[in-house]
Amino acid sequence: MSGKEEDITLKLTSNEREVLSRMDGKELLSSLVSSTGLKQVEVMRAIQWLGNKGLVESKKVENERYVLGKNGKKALKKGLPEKRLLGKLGRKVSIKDIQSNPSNFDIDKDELNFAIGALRRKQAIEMDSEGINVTSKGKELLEKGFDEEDALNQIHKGKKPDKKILNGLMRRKDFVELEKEKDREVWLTALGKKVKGRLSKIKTLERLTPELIKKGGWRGKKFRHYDIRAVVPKINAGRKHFVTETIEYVRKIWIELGFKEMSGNIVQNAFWDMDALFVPQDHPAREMQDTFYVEGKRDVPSRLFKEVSNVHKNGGKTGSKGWGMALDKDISEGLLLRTHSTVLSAITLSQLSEKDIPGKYFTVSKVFRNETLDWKHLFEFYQVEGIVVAEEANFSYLKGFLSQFYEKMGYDKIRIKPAYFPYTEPSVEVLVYSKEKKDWIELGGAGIFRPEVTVPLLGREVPVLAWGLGLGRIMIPYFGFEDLRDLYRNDIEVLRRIKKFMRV
Amino acid sequence: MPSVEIEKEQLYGLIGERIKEDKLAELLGSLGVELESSSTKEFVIEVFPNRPDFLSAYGIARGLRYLIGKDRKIKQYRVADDKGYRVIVDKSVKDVRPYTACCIAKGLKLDDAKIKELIRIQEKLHITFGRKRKKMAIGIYPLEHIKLPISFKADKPENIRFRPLESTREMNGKELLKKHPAGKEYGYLLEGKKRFPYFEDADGNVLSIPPIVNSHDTGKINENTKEVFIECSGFDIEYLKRGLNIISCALLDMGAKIYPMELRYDDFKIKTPSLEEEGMDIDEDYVFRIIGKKVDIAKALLHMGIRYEKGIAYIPPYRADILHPIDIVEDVAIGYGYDNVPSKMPSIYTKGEEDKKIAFLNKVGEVLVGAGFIEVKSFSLISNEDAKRFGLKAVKILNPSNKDYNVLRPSLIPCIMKVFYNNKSREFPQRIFEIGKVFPSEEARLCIGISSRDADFTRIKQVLQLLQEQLDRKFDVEELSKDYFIEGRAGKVMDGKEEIGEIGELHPSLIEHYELEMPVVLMEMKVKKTSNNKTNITKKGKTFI
Repeated sequence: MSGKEEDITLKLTSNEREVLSRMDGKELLSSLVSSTGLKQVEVMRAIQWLGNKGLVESKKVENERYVLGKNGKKALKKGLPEKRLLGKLGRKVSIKDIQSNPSNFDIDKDELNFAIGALRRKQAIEMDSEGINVTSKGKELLEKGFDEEDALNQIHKGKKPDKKILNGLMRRKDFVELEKEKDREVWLTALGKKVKGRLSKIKTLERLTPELIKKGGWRGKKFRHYDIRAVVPKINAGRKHFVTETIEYVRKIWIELGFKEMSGNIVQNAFWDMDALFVPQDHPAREMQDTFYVEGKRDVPSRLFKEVSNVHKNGGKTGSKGWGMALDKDISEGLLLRTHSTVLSAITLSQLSEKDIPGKYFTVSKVFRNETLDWKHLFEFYQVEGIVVAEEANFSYLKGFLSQFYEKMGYDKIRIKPAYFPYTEPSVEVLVYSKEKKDWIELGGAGIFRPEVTVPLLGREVPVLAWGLGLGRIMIPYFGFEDLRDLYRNDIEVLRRIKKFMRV
Repeated sequence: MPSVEIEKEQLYGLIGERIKEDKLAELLGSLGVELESSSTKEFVIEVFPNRPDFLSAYGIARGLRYLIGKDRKIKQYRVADDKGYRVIVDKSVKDVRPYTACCIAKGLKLDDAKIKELIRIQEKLHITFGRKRKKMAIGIYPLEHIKLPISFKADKPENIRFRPLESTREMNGKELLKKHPAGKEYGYLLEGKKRFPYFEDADGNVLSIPPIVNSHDTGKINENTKEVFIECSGFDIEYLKRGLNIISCALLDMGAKIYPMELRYDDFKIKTPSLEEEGMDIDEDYVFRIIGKKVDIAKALLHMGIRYEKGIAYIPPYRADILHPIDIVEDVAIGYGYDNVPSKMPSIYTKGEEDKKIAFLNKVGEVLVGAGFIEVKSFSLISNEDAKRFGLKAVKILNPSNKDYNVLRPSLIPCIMKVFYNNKSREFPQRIFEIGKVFPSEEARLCIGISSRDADFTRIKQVLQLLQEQLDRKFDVEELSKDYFIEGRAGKVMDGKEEIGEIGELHPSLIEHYELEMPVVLMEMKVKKTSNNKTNITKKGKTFI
């Protein structure tokens, strides 16, 4: 036996073996189902696998089969209506007589006209003014029997009767029907014949069971070889949300770079979210269409409020001109959903003492904008925030930190360009070069906090590098989405299967 | 961000050079504006709100000429000799619109393009710098119909009569607010005021009611206009002076002469505009320290159109954004080129540290992932209906833009149910969890849901037990009756004496509501790092936290 045949034989599943062993010349799928006792889908699959191994070939066939209809079955059982009528026509009767009492003539009323017509065509009867006569041919017919009845019998047995008679029967209502049946014709290839011949010589074990191990039943036997390339059913494993995985990746980067994590409330008052960051109280970003406001108020820290208010009014101790507008406490106390994570930086700065400088802080947290939800806008999204508080902090270091971060996020090239935020000066827009898009993409804002921000919060002017970066524009192309909403659709199938965020 | 549309030919003409579009985009970027789009005839340029002087073709061209070194000397903007023009400000305006800053421009050769430009500057400044006319409104009037001196007064609206722009008839101030389109749009700025402000000439003709609309007879400029009166009105004289400077400089660039006007207030008088550059002392070390490099300040600032001599930066009159020397530092950095600033890392040591609460929540997530659960992430905003369905009161968003998201979630249960609803056609069993904040407490909660043929109380309580083991906690469950749980199959989760959550089989009426066909069991609980229970069941196998 050649190695190939043995190899194939070892790989046969028990169903394949079963089907193969029943093969002899040309077989129909339907007959293999009955001969193997397997389910149709099992036989089908076995034929497919055997085909893949080159042991069988098969083709689709359409079987035509004649079967008896309702009236055909009745005629087979009781005889053709014209035969039954002929048998009752001993004496001369008029059509009227038969019509008025059909049961006497062993016939249904609706069969009558057809039966008379059929008998006349066969010249078994003659009609005159007095009634119906049975001819000699008719008597002969009664003795010999009707060809149509033979045909019905043949159809019943699954055989095909004489074509002319069959056509006649087909024209009669509910006598014979043509059924089309899809099936598959299967035959052995030369290789298949060889393998079949060896089936009995190579027996294989299926699963290795505890019983086989215990009793040593595996000794001296061969195990069936699996098709190790076959695709197997999927595992539904537990999984963190891919956005969470991305965030954890980002958090790790900042922790590695020596940053301490900040956390804090989502609902903030305007003082911390805007005023403390030198956003004037009439700034367009504060308008209803940009910021979500919630009911209620929250107290502002009184000493700091006064200082920040002075800075807005005339610069206070900062040497700035200010906005020419003191703070309106009502506006400052109003609650909103934080519009940027920079609010956490402001709060953190206000809590630092001299021993905390130098310090580096970060957060990845949710922020809110009053946007209409569409493919490129979410009203709630994550921002990557960082601050570096140090006497020696400068613009070059800002570029350095941003480069380090984005390098770890998979972007080798970054650029900054001028931008404007009320709380930073210089202000920059951060761009990275996307290899996928072959273009620069804007990922967020950064800068150095203005003295108007740092002096009230820290008590003196210390340079504070700051950034608020987006994750959406990194995640969308990475995960192959086109719509920002896809990040939060919570389609369980996607959550189960989507790749992890990895930039190694 | 505001944007301006500028005709390409006009811009190239003003720059005095045709610049390739990709190069132009690059240059505009380094100027701090952005080329948003480009059609065959026009550029659309986005301008940051701190640079209203860039809201015109003249402003952009001015910036570009300095940047590319076309202008190597700083242009001095000067007013013409004082001709004794006056505006008398009556004290009656104090309560409505107390201040104005004005000037007269002559020698204008207004063609269509220039009229368009002037109106565009006015409109753009209204929207941005003027905060939709609230903070500053600008009026421009042809001088030929006006008899000087001009007065700025306030009176009862019904006493102020004039024919507003593009109107066929005279109206008084009251009618103006109701009937004129500008009155309808900006009327709210005067609503409730007993007196309306207005400008009037020496003949008693009303010129305008600011910030609403000009008179049709004395306040409409056309191509024959050669001299104009310009006023800015508002609440902060310093702010108005800055606004007036931006317009004056644009007019000077257009070839006009600007004549100052004396504004006679009740208790003081000033002359506007003053186009003198303001000197700002600059500490060079401060600049170098912030940028992180010694640079040639004078050279960098020249590219930004700022003269720098002997430690003083002379701020051009159109720059309304320089509040502090730090703003000059930024201009130095931009003029030097952001790309030219080296990228460096400091050597100072700081300790990296994750937030302990967040770290704990991540551990909780790990326990659930290990148990085969999928994490979902929902928005913090839900619909009030969803909150009410579970008998919850929620903090309302005052200005929601979508009724599906009009309250802050008081619980994660509605979020989890929405996920089940959206995943009806997905494979079962579905085992999901979410960790997130609820409001107003902002406490972190964990919500777990199982939807499957065999989802029952046992399945969900198994998870609670697993958490108990791996988090080294002791939780108790006490009976609970809630409409949305099946009676007798729901409990309170207790951490010592504190109720921290609930657990149970969802009532079929809710399953039906969410159009689900499988049973659902839920558990929601507060997750915090510290436990109330002193007798934790410390044992082998817990998570290292």
